[in-house]
Amino acid sequence: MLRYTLWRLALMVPITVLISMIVFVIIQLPPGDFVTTMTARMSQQNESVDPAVLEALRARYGFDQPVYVQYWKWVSGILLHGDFGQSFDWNSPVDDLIWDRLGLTLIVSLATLLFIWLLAFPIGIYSAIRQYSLGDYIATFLGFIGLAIPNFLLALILMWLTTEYLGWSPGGLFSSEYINAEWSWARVGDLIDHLWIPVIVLGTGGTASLIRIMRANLLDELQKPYVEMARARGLSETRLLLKYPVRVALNPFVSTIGWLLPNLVSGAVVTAIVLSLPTSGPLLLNALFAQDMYLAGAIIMLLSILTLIGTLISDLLLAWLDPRVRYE
Amino acid sequence: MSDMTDTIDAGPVTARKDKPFEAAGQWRLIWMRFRRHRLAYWSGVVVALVYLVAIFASFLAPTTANYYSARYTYAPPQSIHLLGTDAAGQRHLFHTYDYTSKVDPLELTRTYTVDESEVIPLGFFVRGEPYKFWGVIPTDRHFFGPKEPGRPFYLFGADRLGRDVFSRTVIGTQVSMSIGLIGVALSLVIGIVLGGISGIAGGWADEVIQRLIELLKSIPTIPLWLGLAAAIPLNISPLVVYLWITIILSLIGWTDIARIVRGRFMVLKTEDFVTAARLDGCSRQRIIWRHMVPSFASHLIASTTLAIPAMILAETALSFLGVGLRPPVVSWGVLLKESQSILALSNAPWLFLPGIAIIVTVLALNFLGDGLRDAADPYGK
Amino acid sequence: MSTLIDVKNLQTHFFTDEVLVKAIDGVDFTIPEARIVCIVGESGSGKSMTGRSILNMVPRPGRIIGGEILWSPGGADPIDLLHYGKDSPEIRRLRGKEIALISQEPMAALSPVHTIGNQMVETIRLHLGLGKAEAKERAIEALGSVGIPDPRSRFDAYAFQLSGGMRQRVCIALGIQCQPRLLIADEPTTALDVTTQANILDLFRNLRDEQGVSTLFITHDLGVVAEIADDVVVMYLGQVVEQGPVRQIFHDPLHPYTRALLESVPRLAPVRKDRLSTIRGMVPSPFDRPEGCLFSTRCDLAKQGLCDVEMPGMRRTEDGRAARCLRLGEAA
Repeated sequence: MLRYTLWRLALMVPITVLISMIVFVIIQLPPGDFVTTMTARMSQQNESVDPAVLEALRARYGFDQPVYVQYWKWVSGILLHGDFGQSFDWNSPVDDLIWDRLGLTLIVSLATLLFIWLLAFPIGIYSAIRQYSLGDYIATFLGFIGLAIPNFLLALILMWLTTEYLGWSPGGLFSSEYINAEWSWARVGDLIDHLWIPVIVLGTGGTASLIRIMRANLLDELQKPYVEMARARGLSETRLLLKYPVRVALNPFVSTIGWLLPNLVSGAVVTAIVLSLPTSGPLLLNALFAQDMYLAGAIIMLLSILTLIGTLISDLLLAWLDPRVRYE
Repeated sequence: MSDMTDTIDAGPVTARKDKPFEAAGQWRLIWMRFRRHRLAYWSGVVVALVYLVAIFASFLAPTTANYYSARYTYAPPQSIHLLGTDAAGQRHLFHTYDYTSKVDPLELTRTYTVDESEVIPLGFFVRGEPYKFWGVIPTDRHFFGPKEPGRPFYLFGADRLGRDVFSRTVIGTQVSMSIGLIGVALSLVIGIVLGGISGIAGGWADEVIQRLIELLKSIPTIPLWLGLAAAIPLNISPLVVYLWITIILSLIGWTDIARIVRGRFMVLKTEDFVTAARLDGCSRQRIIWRHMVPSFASHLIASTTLAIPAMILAETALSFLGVGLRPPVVSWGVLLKESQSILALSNAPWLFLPGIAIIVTVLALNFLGDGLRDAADPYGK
Repeated sequence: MSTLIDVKNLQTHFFTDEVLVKAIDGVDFTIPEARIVCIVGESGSGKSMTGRSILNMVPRPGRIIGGEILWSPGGADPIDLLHYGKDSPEIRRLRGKEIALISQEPMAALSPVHTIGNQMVETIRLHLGLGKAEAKERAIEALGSVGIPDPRSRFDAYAFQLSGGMRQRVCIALGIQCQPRLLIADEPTTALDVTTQANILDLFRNLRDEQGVSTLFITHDLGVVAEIADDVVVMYLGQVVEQGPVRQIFHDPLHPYTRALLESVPRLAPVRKDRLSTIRGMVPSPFDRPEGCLFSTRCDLAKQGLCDVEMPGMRRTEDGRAARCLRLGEAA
């Protein structure tokens, strides 16, 4: 187990390096750079810019240097000083902009994960032991619908419904009086009040697929001889079910952290834009439009690392839950 | 338990001699199982219809995607009526009613009421806006629409510019459905080649490809797509944008297919029938194409079907965010971008209707793929 | 010799979408105290389902639709186990406590993610109401009694850490730990090599001789039957075709099917025939059972107009044996 953990941790390093390279390539991809975009914007407003100033700007940000030098500058800044560079668009260090928003992204994603588990676990079990019952059909059908609705559409529909019928307009994660407030219990309460819409929007798809996975796994397990043997030893159906098949079917459940988290992080980007949540999604989109490369790069990079950590946790948990891996 | 299943499985095999064996090939067996799966079967019909709509979209739409009329901005949907009489007492078979509109002088918004006295007769194969069928044949015939060109006919209502949402949804089918198909085809090619190399060659090639897949999978898709899509220059032709988006989407899509292909090859390598073929002196190529690929082709088709809806949803999301396809291209995602503002929504909820098209299509594709997967599994029930 | 369990006219049918399968179609037999009764039959004869039916554990879509299973331990008044529901507390009190099942796949019969000790203690505490420590001691004792070396350290092992023979011993330990009166052993030696098989068979004999445990031993292996059985029940297509003490079954089989089965066993003893005889044809499909005697389609003695018309009943001979053949007595 220890060896496995160390191995998995060691594996993180090259993957992170490779991801950083991919991310850097992506943010380098758009033709031109921020200075070009800025010039274009200024000339639209009939302002002319002194070419010398532009050159100075380019030199300052290192745009005139070869790509690998730029990459090294960027990476070494992050590694050595925790400095993600400067946001051109916001004219402030990237670090000042992202941490709050990443924190909220994490909160939204984790809350959704919790929501998915709490819902999918019992429904999945119910669907499996009452296979082909009315409840099973309803769960299956709703599950398919949940998978078929794009996140943003669901967000729009929920927004529309709440404004039309509940008379308030959702959006954001805080009420206006708490947006810039210090953290307090009241602010946390306010956050929870606002959290449910994004959580439902984000969680529907995941819940649907998890119910299906849980149901399929459990149906598989219920056929296994060890379940029959436990029954033959006099265990009641409920106790039997909870102790054996559910325990075995738990493994794929845990591995969901690995793939749900990236999905949630991804989905959160779109949902956040529709619901105007103060998470990293809208910031990323704007940074990409404005060619604010360091900001965009930092966000993609950190979201990827978040995903990596999620996968790592799920792999380790899985190994720990499965004695066959644990005793390797 | 095992006894029972043994005999049930053995049933058809041990049938009496007077009942001859019925030989059914792999594909026929799959088809037979698929037919029994009602929901999947009808979903297949729906999918086929949607693709038919995509093929004949410009003909099926009552007007063109970009025809607009400022008189009818945000006009609500009209309904089709059969059998009725107009104010003049004339009977009409297939018709709808005109609107009367009032402009609010303060807010400058129009309100529409359906005017049941003004009948707009509808017909089939009517003349309307000119267009080029399949981009080649110039014509002005539409499958159905108002008999007099220029009369309002908004089955799904009108948008901000007074364009027909129904026609736009129908025409959007072309891009949305084809991007799914082409994207999946691309993923399939990359997936089969890389998955095949991985599974057949093994060794370091397998290692490299597996690590590459893991790497791609660990980057959250939407941020990755956003980053890549944002890199597409704004000034290039819509067709090129379309191609780029397709390529970007398949950049991730292939990984799942590659994994399936690899897994199957790995298992099949050790199967007896493959060993037998090798001992019979079959060439490597022949073993792969005649013995191995057919044994998982059905499985692959099912997985591919399940990958299409994911592509459609991804295109929709990107276009919706404004980094995918952009107007004047019409896709379902582009249409839904119109409904982005909450104001538009409370005023014109019919702008959601293209969303229904997405849900129905994705649902049908998912059911179809599920049914195909069940049917393709030779050891399934 | 008092009767422990008396199975009367047991009928277990499977209701699939298309057809009705009569897995067990009117089975009668008894298991006396401290005896090993073997059920012999080809696959599909319903022998495993008979074992499951006694515990009222027939898997869906199967259902016990008729018959009685009379349980009378120690000469007590018989109670019909089929009166209890599938998940009733009454039947659950018997399962694992009075009647234990031992399966043919020792690997699959143990949970992959729980330790052996965990599964044993759970059952002991459930039935005997012992504390954790006592239950553990008892489990270790049971492990030791089935010949597992160093049972204390095996207690915390997982199934995948043991060899096949060890796993089967664990399964038997799980079966006997609450000192049941009846073991239902479903081909417990099929997956094992010959030496291990012999050791396991010894275990069952010892349990009978030392603790008076009866065993319903389900197998298709006549070699095993010869070695372990006191009484034999031969099944074919869900019916008992012959039953009696093992000696007589082997030396003087009454039913043509039993005879054919015995002739199809290879022997090391002086060879008389050049070829091993087989039973002609195949077991008929359960969807398509023959008219009349179920064995008539494969029987060398079958008489047209008789055997393929009339379903034979169970006929008893004076010496307490029984067979289901219309030509009983005339053929041999």
